Amino acid sequence: MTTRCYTSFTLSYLAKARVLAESVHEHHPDWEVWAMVCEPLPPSFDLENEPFDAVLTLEDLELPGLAGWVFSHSVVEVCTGVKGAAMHRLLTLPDTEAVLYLDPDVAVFHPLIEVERALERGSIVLTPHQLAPEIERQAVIDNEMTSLVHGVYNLGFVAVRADAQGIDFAAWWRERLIDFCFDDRMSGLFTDQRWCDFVPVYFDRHVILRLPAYNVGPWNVGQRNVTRAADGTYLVDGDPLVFFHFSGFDGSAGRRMLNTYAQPGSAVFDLWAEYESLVVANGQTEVETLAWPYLRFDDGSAIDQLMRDAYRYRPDVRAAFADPFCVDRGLPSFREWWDSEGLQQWATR
Amino acid sequence: MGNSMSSTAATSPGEVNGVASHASAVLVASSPERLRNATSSAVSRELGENRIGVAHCLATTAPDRPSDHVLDDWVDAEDVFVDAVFALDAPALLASRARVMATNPAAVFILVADHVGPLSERAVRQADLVVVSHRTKPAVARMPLRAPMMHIPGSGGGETPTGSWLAILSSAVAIRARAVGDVALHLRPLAKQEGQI
Repeated sequence: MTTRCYTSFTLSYLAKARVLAESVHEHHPDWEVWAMVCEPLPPSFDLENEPFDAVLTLEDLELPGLAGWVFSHSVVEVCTGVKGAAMHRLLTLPDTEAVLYLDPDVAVFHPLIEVERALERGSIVLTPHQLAPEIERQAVIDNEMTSLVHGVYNLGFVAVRADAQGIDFAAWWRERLIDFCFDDRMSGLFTDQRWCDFVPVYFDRHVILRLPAYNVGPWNVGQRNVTRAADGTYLVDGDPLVFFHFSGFDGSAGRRMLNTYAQPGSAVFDLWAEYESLVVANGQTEVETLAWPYLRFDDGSAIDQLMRDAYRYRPDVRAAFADPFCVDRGLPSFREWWDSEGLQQWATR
Repeated sequence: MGNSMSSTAATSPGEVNGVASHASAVLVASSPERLRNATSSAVSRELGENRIGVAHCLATTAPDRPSDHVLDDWVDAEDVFVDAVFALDAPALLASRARVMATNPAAVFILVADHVGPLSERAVRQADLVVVSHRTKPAVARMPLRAPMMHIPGSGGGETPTGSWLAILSSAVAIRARAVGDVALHLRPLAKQEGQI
């Protein structure tokens, strides 16, 4: 039986995904690492030269109306929206024992022993953003209230056993994400993550892992003391760091949270800098500017959010244009409809 | 071919594997030869036996203007409310889709990919379901943003196990309903411009 780990990303995150895959292999050499790549693979992508054991593409997931589904979603919504389908697919492979999802901006530093133990007594393992109440008002706003909006559990990690309830969970998550994986906070939705607030209610064989060394991230470094042992390994509240989530690594959000909440002189700043070097060594400079191809129509013109919204919320338009990316002067196209009447209709609705 | 509906609608309501028994299917192909073969094919026979009206029509792509798809000999759209299109090649699917959609935006499109050509990639993105043979499966599987595939041995109009085509149609109906929402409840008439949306 096989434990399979997967991550979902576009090629601009390839360097980070490589770091993740290598770190998983280092601590769990018997696990398979699968790359869920949310765009066409370029000819230069050679699995033989990558640290992944296998690749899944959007086409492998058999999502209904795939071209339209992709068009309806932003890049983040696509990468998170496929997580349920990929989880279900891997869980239902005949020799799968368990499946773990890890975000591409995670790195593993120690074997996930407590996850393996949790999967012996439960089917679904989650890690909360917060493990204890905040005290400072600003931290309540930044961390607790943000968790209320984005979800109590961080879905940069989830582990699922390939038993009946684990597969039921994956099937349910898959269905919800196909239909409702949007960053639409006013509607109570935040991609794949908010849905998992239901897990403790819907699935009794869940385990909430309340361990500070698992899924350390910018939103909880204020409550977790990151230090270094004499041999250079990282510790969290005195225990070996198991995995860190470098959320907000691109841009300034992650480091800003560290500056605000980490203790001055905390080893977390060394950790962040080391991760930065690792990512660069794995090709970050080459891939970080790669544009997701589904930001544009077939003819290269840009797709804006207004167009995506109109397509997302109008079933008649979705029905009319199965492939809204297609711009062909010989055929009716979404773009043609948008230019002639769609924009006017949608903007003045 | 013209208005040659080969079977009449069912006289009593009911469903066969989730497909309404009064559904009308049309087989389209871009060449007369392929269409002739299809007339006696398993798909035509099986759907007819299940009281699904089956028409056949030629849908071609102008050879000198590959992006200009035209329909020849099309059944009169006002007479036939097409629920399902079995396109026996990519040009036929592209040529028929807008025409059928103008009448029934909920219609399902099934591409029977017996071979792969220059228009296949676009057609598999417009289809709700692609039926592949052992020969075409590898090429179709590599196409980006393609519709779900079903692998049916001998699906190019040859012998196919009884029940397969109805199962394919049922799957396509489910996929389309899932992709566009409850079209029957929410669709409103689409504006038509010269027969197109």
